[in-house]
Amino acid sequence: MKERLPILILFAGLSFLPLFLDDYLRHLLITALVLALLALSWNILGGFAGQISFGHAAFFGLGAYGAGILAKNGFNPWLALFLGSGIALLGGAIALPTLRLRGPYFALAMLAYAEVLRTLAILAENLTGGAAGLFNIPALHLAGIDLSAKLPNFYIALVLLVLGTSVTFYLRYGPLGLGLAALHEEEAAQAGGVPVFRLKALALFASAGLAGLAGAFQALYIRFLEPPYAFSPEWSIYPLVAALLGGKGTVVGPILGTFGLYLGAELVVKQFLERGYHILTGLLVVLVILFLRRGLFGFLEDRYATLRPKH
Amino acid sequence: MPLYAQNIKVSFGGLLALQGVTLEVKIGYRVGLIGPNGAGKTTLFSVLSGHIRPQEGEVLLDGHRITHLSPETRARLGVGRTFQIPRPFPGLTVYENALVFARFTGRAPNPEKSAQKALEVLDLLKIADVPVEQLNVSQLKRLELARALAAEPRYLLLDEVFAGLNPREKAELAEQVEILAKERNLGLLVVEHDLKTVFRLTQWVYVLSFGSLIAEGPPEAIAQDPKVIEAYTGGVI
Repeated sequence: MKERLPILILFAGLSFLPLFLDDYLRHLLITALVLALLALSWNILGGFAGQISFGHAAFFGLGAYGAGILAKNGFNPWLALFLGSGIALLGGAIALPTLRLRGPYFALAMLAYAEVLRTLAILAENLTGGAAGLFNIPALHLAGIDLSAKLPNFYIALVLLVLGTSVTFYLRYGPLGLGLAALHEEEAAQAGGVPVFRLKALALFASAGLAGLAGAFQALYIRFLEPPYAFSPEWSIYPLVAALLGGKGTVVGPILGTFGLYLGAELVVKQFLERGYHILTGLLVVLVILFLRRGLFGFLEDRYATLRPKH
Repeated sequence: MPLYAQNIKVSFGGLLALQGVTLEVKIGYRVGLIGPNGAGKTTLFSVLSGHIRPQEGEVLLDGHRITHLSPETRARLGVGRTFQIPRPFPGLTVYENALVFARFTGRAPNPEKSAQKALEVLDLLKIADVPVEQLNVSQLKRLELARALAAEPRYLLLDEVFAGLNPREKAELAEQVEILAKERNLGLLVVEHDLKTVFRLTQWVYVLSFGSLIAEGPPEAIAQDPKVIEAYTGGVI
């Protein structure tokens, strides 16, 4: 499996990196890890199963509010973290009927779903704190040790990304991977006996759960939530762009895409262009679509064909 | 026991695509379905494969009603099909494309072997590891057929699998299809524009025109049938 080696190298490198960095850079890396997890989750649905979503903020926000509310109401933050992911996964069930829609209609339905949830989060003041937000969310801790510092949070986010990568890896290269890839041609997949709706639903639940996990972690890390933040369209657009950039349909592509996009913008582009750097992001997407159809990983793979395994 | 479409009616909005059509494909027989453009061939084909549900009529497989069954289920029951415009799964190799059919229909005892065998029969084994994006028309057409065969179907529905090929490729593929159908004792339904290929390949031919069957019979009789000639020439000759 051609992706195993790059993934191992990436995680090995990441495990040592923060030891040499200051807290500001650690914070950037944590955010990159959260975004990478979100990009992985988007890619399961958009890259593997071919169901392009414009509304992953829905699952991210559900996970964030789920974890935040539970932790504030006395749940152990670790439990809240995974229950938050579970709540987002259940949120996937509400999106199930949209899987019957094809092409742009599914994408738009997801966009609407995220907007509806954002409005609900504002209206349900008793539960979410409404527009004022949810403050003082308890931080993760272990055996009485506070883990709210940057370094522990980095390693927690890294472990979550490894978890997400394992799930993604299993879905791509496990027994169902071929069936998921076949969903790009739905009628042909049906003719091949592929249980189209069931596989789409599986991809939706896995994707929603992982996006929720990213959101849940973010809530416990920054410890403050407000609806425009938790359901921000950025959580929908970023993973999409990162997956396209890195190579949708691969496991490692969206992770590489996120690091390239986010750290590139924060560490390089912002040095020259403090405001309006998103214009460059848009330009990048256009260039990738025009010239790197298989994304960065696909490009690298073609250049270094030796990475390809023999059957 | 046959694959049987009985008294099928399909309309799209106000347009009547099929009306009272009955057709039978028996195991071990090669059947052709011809008709001018817009006659309803592909619609009938999709009714058999489950991609279109008829408003009236039934589809029976081995005497059991399958009208309500999804295309996936029909594929698992042994009804294989190809698509007029090849629809390979993008991002996958030639071998993986065949493996999807072999694995998910659950019919092949050894899916990997069935996929490989199907590629071998259609001369695609050399390019098994090539991504489908790099295939030419002739290779894509053969992959359509190989995928369907990898599922080890009992019935095989071919939708214009010869279209877009040059005469030599067409003749070669037709010969391969005939050998395969005999070897595997398939019930074969061939939807095709090229009458010569259909007449050479099949033992029984159905003729559709404006959504209705206007003739059926052995190829040599159909070739002489005045109704068929009129349908194809619009009565000019």
